[in-house]
Amino acid sequence: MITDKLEKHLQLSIDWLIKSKQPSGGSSAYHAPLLGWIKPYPETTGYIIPTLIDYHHYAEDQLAIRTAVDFGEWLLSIQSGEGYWFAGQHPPKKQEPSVFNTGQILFGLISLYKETKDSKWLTSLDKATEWLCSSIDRNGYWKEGHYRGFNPTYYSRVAWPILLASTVLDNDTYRNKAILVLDTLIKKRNPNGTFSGWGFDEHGSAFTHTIAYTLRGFMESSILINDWESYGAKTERALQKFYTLSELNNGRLDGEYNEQYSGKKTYSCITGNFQIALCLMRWYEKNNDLRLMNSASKLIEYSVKCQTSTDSILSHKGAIPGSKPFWGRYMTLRYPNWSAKFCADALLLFLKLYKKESDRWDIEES
Amino acid sequence: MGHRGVVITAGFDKSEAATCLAELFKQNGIPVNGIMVVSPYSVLRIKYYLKKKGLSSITQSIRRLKGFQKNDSGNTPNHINQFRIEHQISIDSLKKWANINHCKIITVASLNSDQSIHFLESTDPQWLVYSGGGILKQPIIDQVDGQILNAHQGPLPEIRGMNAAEWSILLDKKQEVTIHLIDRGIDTGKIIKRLPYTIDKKDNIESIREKAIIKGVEGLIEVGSQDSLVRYDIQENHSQYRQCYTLSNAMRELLNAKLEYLKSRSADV
Repeated sequence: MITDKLEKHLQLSIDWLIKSKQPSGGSSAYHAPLLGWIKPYPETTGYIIPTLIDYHHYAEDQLAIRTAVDFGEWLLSIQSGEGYWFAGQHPPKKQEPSVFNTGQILFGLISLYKETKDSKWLTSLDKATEWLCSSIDRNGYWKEGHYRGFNPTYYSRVAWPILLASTVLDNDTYRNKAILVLDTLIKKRNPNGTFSGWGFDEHGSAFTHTIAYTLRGFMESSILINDWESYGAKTERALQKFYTLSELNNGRLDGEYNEQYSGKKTYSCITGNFQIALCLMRWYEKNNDLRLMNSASKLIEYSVKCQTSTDSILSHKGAIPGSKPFWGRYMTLRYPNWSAKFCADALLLFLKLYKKESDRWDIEES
Repeated sequence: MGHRGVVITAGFDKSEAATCLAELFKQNGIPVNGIMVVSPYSVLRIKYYLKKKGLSSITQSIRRLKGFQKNDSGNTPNHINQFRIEHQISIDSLKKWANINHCKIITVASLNSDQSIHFLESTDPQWLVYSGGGILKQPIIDQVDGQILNAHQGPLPEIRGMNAAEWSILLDKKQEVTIHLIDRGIDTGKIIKRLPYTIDKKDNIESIREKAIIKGVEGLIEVGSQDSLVRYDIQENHSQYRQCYTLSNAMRELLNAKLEYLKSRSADV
């Protein structure tokens, strides 16, 4: 059964994420041959937390929930007095606040609060969201705290957790600020459905990793505010394109695309493949077209084959590389923790939707 | 003006659908002016399969090209074999059929090649009856003034593209074959006729596909035997539905599960 195989990949990913926990408390940014585990990464440690909590609910894995709480405790211990987290790995080389990293950590805090109802997560969440929202100018831009000096379109994935936080904190000011950001970013949409500035650089090609960040941020925000037309509908053209590209290439997307959808064919960004699969599955949940699941499952089936199953000089059991081939341009020769996170997220959602579709027909176990 | 005859396309010499079409047109008194077979061994085609589907697809294709039956399960009827017996079709090769019936036949690298266009020019058919060989481009469509018939294995416009019989089941659509004209889009040409079929308890995916092939042959013979479409209620087609592609492993597993479930509920699905 393919679902049994996928469950094994899921467990391997989660086990690897748990192993990524460093003595200091955070999740190592990546594992690399010869170098081993690297310093922990606050941003991804934050958004790995909901993955571990979801897995705990799926498989009743106690270690997953304990690790999620440990990750959260570590993030509280390194939060700045103003509410933000620093850019990059921890401890940072330069002590600069980061909009994106702080935004991604909100996901973890929200999940931990929902899971434990402990107010300490809420206090930290409020402080971080307050910092994020107070830094947004009247045009919907952040003036500082960027990765490469500009407001990338994938900040839609910062607006999304701010909207989530606004619900948990019951704060309309946060909600309005998130919408202001989304209204600004959506203007970067090109007629062909791509977005300007959806990569790490303001112009040029973008990894599918940040393309998916952008699309998912708009989609989830639309779902949260119950207004698909404003943002979600505007991602459909790009989603349709990636649906087709995945189908035509049997689940392999190029690692990066420019604003005319011209791809860099020399490698595939495995992380991005899982993320695009997640976008297609979320779209499927919206419109119930099983064809989207077909495309998503091809992306997943192609990408899970890259998961390493043994420990050796070049491999690390359960790890997912950034690129295929391993020396591809995205996270070259490294196994990032966010690859395993998005792999686990994609598998958890796929298995849930697959079961839902099977249950619809009331299939009896043979 | 009488019927000017048909030209049939095929993706390979031992195409069951194409041999049935050739023989049944003959039995119906419709001249088969020619047959165009796409060479399965072109470098381009092999490269395409290797790149897109891997080495295993090549071995599977060879089995099919050599005429080995796909549905050889003891419990499931082979509908195509039964159909051939009923219609006394014993020949299994287009080349042999063409040789016996003094019919022009060419093997082309692509249906869109200049050679194909010249062949159609010289054979001047009433209908080009499509039975495989790849996507047709505008010059060949123009060569026959768009008079190209196709049997699509699913209901149009909802299910267009590949694995249509399978997708019809997965998407809770009717099991039917649609006879339509071919235009530049994928299964977007005008709809001529719909031929429903049923699934019964003995069917599996392969036998369902066979049923769809037979319905398609019947539909193409009926429509292709006319010298015009005046007797049909021609419907516009729409391309707003998302195109279907081959099933992923997971979706194929889901399809098998659904099929078992449907079969467990009633004799006819």
